[in-house]
Amino acid sequence: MSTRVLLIEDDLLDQQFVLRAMARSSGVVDIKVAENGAVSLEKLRREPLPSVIVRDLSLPRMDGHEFLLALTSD
Amino acid sequence: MTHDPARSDDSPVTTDASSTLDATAEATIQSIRALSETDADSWLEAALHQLNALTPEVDFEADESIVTTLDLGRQLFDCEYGFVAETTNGVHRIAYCATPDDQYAVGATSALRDTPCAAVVNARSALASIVISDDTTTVVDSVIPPDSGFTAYLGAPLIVNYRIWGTLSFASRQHRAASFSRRECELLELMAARVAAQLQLARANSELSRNRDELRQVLDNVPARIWVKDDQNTILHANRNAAKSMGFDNPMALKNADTYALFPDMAAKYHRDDLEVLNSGKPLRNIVEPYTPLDGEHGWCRTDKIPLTVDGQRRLLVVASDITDMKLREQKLQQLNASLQNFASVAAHDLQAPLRQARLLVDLLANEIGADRSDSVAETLDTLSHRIDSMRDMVRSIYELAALESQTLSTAPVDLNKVLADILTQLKPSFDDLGVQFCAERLPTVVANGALLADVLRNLIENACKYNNSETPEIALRYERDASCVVHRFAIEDNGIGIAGADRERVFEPFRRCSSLAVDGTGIGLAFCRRVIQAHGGTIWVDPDAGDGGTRLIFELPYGQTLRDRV
Repeated sequence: MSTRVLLIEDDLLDQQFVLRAMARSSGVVDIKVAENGAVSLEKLRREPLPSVIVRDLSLPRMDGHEFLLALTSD
Repeated sequence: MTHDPARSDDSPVTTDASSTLDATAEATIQSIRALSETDADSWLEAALHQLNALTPEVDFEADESIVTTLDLGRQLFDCEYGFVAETTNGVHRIAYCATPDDQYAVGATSALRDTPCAAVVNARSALASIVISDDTTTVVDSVIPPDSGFTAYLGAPLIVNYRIWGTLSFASRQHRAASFSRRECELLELMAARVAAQLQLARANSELSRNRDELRQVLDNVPARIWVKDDQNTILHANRNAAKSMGFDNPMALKNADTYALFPDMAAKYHRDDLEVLNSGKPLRNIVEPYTPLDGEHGWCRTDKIPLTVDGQRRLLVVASDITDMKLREQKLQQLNASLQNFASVAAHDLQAPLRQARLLVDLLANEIGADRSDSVAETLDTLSHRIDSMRDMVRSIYELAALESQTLSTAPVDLNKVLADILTQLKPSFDDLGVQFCAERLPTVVANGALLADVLRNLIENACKYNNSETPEIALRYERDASCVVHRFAIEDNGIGIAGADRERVFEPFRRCSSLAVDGTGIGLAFCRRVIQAHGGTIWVDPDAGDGGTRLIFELPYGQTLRDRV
């Protein structure tokens, strides 16, 4: 069984860095990428909950802090 | 008086049409003249009565009054000529005259000694003199110069402000049967007293009006807006600038104007301030407030309100200066500051991100190339990493410097001995490498921002270490309380390369590198130190008396920032 990870990051290069780093991990990782908080909330509502959420703080539309507030209130 | 010996004696006596007396007055005067010399007291009484009736004692139209007095005198004394003359400095100058011809005019001058008035001025009292018949040789002691053409003269001094200012005189070219009577002389003296009083009043009036004019001009030409108000928020007077600022050309238009009507937005506030000043009797100064007249330009002003008492009435002097430009500049500056701080935070995030990424990419690249890279590739990658790290440090320093400007300093008691111990632990590896000898005196506990003060100490010690090419770098941290117990003084001394005189201030500017020594750093360290020390109310400088070889950097913290008993 693979570990589910949700990556919230708008910068494509930073996405690549995290994906590369994850790819090196020994376990099987199922990574979903969302470019902002609003999109990731949608994903979280539709899909199974991830074990890990890696998020940037400064994001367009809904930033990391707002996302966290929305997530905990959901 | 100018003199005209050629004048004939048969001219009409009192028939000039220019008399200021009306028909009733003329008739009364005729009846007074009809009173016989034997009834002298009645004559004087009637004449005085007429004088009072024609010329009020306090009269602001002094000129008219004086001419009327001259006309009355001409009738009563039976003389064709009446003069009021100024006789100062030996010159006889006609100030007023009533004459049957245009031989004498206001402003005409002659030497005082050539006139009968000279004798009056000398005697300091009324004098009367006549020439008996045409035989001038029979005259003894006559004051009338023979070539004046006059045969009768009656004059009295005019005493203004306790000094003889001039004369009131009447003269005739008609031969008189008898000399002037004692009553006539008495009447003349009374007339002279009255004319003198009128002259004095006229002078006081013109002085008052000149002063008022001068004051008005001063008030209208100062840049301030000035009002005098009562306690009902009513404007009593305003100067030109005040009027202009409210959309009025003429300050007089504001007399008794209601502030509530002219400043609908601010009047209530103005009135509250007015009453505070009037009730307390103490001025209010530097009130900065919006200026929003109904019809004038809106802006900002700085106002002083001063209580006055005028004739027992409560009055308020209001003096305001227009500070709209200053206020606008201040607002603009605040906006600029805000955008600068915003810029700093944008710079911190947005500039640091690509640098971080670039640094990661270099690491990835190094990994991908693997261990079998050539020396030159390895060196290039090392330099690249190093430069990117320096750049990140600089960007971070700029951010910290900018953040320092905007944050309020949170302070707590800080034991500087502990702070120093932590710093020395961090620096131990490089101290060991370079063989640095470090010594410090016992330090006080101060009330300060511990983290920032630690940054300052670390910066200063690192600098002492970096700008040092001695075989054995020596660094000392000294501490003393100044004699007056106002400040704590710290000094960091080294035996390094020193700072040239011209650079002692420049080293505190951001990004200013004054050393020729190739040293790592952001160029912002000392600028940061100065901001931190200043934020604590202290000062920092390079000691110019450090001597050759080495630097002594001194910083002081106010004694109030310290806990004295913990030192």
